[in-house]
Amino acid sequence: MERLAPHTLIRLSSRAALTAAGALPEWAEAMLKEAPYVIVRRGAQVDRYPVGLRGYQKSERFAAFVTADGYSDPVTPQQALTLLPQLDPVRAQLPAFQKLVQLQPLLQDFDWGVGGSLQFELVTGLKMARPGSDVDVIMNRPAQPLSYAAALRLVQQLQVIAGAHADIQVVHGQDGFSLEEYAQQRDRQIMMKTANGPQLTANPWHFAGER
Amino acid sequence: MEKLHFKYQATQPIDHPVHIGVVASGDLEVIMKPTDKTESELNIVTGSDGFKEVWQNVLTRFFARYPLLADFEINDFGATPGVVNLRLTQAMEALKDEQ
Repeated sequence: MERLAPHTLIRLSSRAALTAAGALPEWAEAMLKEAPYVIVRRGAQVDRYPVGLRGYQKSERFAAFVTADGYSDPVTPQQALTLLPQLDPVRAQLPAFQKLVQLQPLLQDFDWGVGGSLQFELVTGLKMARPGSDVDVIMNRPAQPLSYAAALRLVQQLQVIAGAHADIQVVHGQDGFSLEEYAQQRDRQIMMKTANGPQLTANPWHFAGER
Repeated sequence: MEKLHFKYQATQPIDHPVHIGVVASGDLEVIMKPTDKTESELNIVTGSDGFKEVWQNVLTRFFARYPLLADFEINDFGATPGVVNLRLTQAMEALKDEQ
């Protein structure tokens, strides 16, 4: 089974490829008819992929699974970002997309992309972004760890451009941490999200927890 | 956005403030401050509406184990119950370390 990183969007081959513990809520069925895309979420990938469905409302989130061969067209956050120039010009005027454009020089030395509602809209064309949508930067863990000072500079510049609800998540395989939390140094450990749930670590740049 | 308010009986006063976590996607920050009151008060601002009961379950379990007497301010941005629990425990450990 191919490994898919969390935050990758995949296209369902059929409605039957999607399974869940219970019946899908009405909004979820409606969304799948508009665009049959789901987002890979963290969790073991043994015989199926854990995925999330999202609707137009922030409260509309639903956890499900996709069968091993039940998808096509995976789109990573990096690939989603490359679709930005093709976005409908009216939609591109939304502050959230403008911020994304402005972030590009700041992050040019990193391997990064966009997650959340902006990613979903870039891939599906559905009007998911709102004027105040968060800008979720997904950055692949660089080979060289960032110093606290460099991380703090980056987070501060990000917030100048994109406001308080902008964040950089540094990811490596299934693991991910908030660059802001690292930069703040509030505690000697920070939270690492993993396939097996969140845990604390003192060394996020060389973290090798359970896979 | 929803504002939640809880009170819990608690017996272990804290003597200095602590600030843990960040307001990032799927995460939260928790700020604990010493209080003169006789019970812990929690003010929670959450981006995910409709989870009052889930919060209550997580908090009730936490206070049963760690009856910290403090003013709690929590700013939540879609944290799962697992993350809430990890952050509260981390804050408690940070208090212990500094004492």
